[in-house]
Amino acid sequence: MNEQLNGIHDAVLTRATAGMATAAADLLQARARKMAQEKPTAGTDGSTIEVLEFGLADETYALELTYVREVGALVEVTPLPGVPDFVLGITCLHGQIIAVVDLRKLFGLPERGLRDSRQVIVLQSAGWEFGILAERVTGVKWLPLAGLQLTLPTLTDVRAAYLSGIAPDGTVFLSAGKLLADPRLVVRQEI
Amino acid sequence: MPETEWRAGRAGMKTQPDADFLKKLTATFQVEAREHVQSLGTGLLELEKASGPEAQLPIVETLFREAHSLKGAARAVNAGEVERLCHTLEASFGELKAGTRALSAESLDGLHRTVAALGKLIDGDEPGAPVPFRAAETAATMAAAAADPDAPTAPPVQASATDTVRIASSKLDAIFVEAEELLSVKLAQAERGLELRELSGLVADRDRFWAESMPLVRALRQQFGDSGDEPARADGGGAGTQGLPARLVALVDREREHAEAVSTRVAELTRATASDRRTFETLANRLLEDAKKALMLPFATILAGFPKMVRDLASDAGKDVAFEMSGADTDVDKRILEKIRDPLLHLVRNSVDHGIEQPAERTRLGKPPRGSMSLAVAQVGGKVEIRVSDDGAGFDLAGIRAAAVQAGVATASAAGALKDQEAVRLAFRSGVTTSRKVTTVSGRGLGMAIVNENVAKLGGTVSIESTPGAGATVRIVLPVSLATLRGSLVRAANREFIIPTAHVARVMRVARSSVNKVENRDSICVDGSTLALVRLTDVLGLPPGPSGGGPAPLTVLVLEHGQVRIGFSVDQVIGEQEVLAKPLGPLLPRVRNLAGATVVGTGRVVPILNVPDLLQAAVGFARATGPESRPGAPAEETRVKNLLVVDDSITARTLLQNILESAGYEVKTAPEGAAGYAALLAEPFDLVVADVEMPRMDGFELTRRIRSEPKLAELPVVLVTAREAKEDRERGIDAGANAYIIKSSFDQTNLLEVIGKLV
Repeated sequence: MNEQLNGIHDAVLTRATAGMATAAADLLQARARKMAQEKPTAGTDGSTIEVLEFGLADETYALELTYVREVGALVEVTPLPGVPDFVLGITCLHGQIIAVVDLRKLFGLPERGLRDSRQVIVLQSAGWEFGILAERVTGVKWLPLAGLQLTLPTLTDVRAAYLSGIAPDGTVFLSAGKLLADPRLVVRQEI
Repeated sequence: MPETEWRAGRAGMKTQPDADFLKKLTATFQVEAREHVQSLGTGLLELEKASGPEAQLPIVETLFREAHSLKGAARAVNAGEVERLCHTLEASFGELKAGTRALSAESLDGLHRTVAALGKLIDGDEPGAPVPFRAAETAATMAAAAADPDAPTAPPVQASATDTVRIASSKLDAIFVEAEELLSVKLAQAERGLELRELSGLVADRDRFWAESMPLVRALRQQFGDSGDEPARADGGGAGTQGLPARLVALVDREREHAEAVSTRVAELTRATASDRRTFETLANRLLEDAKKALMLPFATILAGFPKMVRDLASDAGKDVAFEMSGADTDVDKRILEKIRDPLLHLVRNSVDHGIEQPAERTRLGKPPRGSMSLAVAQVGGKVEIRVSDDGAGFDLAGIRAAAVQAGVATASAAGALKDQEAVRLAFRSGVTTSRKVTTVSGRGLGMAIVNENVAKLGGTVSIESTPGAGATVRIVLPVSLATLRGSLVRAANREFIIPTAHVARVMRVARSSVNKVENRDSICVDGSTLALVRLTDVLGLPPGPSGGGPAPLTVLVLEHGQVRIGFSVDQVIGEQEVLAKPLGPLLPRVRNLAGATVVGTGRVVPILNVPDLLQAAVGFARATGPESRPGAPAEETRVKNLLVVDDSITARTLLQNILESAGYEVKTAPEGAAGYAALLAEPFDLVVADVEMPRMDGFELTRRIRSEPKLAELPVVLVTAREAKEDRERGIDAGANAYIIKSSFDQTNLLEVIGKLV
């Protein structure tokens, strides 16, 4: 907590003293610049794709960054009665109610119990919007499309429906578009 | 703060020549100014009584502040005369404060006279004429007024009673809430109207029946009724069987006449009620509209202090700022105004502190040395748009990125990868987890999270346009009025829910001993009638809470909708509050028993229950279950049920298997009908879930095979399909399936319910 506060304070100091930046902020900015430039040179011709990498049940997943509206700490989730169990509940982000989907339930993955650093990745596309639970968000990276294995005979579960491909390192690259467009995920319980 | 610094508000007001607005503003000013004059008067009296500098000094401080505030307010409406008098007062109090002048009887008299002059200046209003503007001649006579207390300093016109009264806002709020509650009466009346129409329909049916029966009645009368009056009397005791048909005819006639009378009366009542209802609806709507209007105030009421604040902040920071306001006459719900004031203050302060550069810096950048800022309010459709703009440095993106990383809301790589426009949005998030702490620091962008949250609580949105070096605009869009409802916050099974108060007939404590069992259902006696009693947790399908048993009395809410009234027991009623209903988002367009969600004062998200759904579910629930088979209660049988899933799609198969296994069933799978049939013959199963469309043997065929095999004839079959056509459903039932479920979603509650009933 204190570290966070100090962090904010440092950042403010950087701003306030405009130009007399602290070493810490310098470092951060340098790191940010490095990250921003980290895409391979081949990136411009469409052979790589920018993804958000996150961990779930000891596996690494990736989602196309263009569908990611934001990533936030999942402070509190209110469970809802009578909804399918892949709907973890609802949470409030900046005053807006966001439904949180638990992909582990949808994919039948084991649950490791609550981790204290749960995060929510908010996906968004043309009026569709919901959050997915992530046990940890690793970061943004460029995924070379050439190395992707598009189908995997052994991946015979529900995940296959949302699969874009599997990276050589085993990262499961999910299609956020397919997730967002799947009408089966929509809970419409008419009486 | 030298007076020459004062440019902002005045310049801004001059760009707003709207007469209506000025009138409103002047009225507002008058109300405020009277308060200050009154405080000044009482303060001076206190000062006179106080002895010794220790007692006097705090009073002088107060008086100085009062004079200063009134001066500021007077400036905002260009009331130059009031401003000048206040300035004199302020200077005198300043001297007293500094001790450069001693308090004497003469100086007190002079101060009293000046305050009296101020009072007359402010009150000497004729409705509609902005007094402070035409009081120039009194200004010149200020000195004379001080010298000669009898000289009138304002026209001798006595202040006519103004058409403004001050009412405690709590009283207005109460009126509004009561008016809002008429809405539920209105809805109930509409319901009654429908019921009456139904009754009219029944009566009309009976009329038709009589009309059709008339030939028969006539025939009967002809044959039997003309035999004289004697036997026609129904009460003609002792008449033989001969007279019976005639008496029957008489009975029929009387019954028909009675029916006619009833139908006439029902028609009259229906008409009269409809007319009453229309009158009531009109009145209720008008009352609600007027109550809403009474709660609508112009933005000017909260913006009055802004020009002065900008001037003070700018002069403190050594900056030169021209501040313009527009649209301050836009009316908005008072409750919105109250909550938007602080976020706006924050934005304006941010602009002065961190947006506008020092004059020297601006000159170096090739900008005019005087920065410009504006606050523009406009009504756009049913929304209000507020833009706070400046031509300063724009948002410090590097600072925001770094702060977001340090606050842990974004990784360095994620923050670095963001485009500028997206990075600006990070500002909203700096405080997601540490908002309280962020308020203690002041930086451009930081604190935006709080602004954003406050606006979102009102149902509005914030967006930022920032151009580095050229300035920034923060745009806030708000609803004109709050969509609120009253809700009872209840707790059940350690969860909280909001129940719309409009549906709560009453809340009561019921001793457990007074709960009756009627037809294996719990019921309670309320006002002499028997009501079904259910547990809210049972209806919602939740395990009962910790206080499920025990001797404590039950807390029961009687919920009603239309004709249905049912008691729901909960663990606790926490209280009643105003809630702002929000939708659950695009993924959850319709969730059974839920009407939305709200964020309660503590920041927790609480679902709002849908009472019509609850009542319907409770009726079904009470019918379907006796006391010994409550859902959620442990099953009596411990043997795990064995299910077979037959589906050609591996995805669907795996999904179904997963759903059923997590519901506690043992599941085996088969890829199509023939393989499924073979599996069924090989080992015993309790139920089959089969897809309809499959290669080789489809679901219909599989069902027919199962039904024709004596060993399997009783096996429950559930067909699951994407086909929604009625013919398919009929085909499935014809084939002998026990249930036919449309797989339009992954919502397995229906599937599990059906399976639960069949095994």
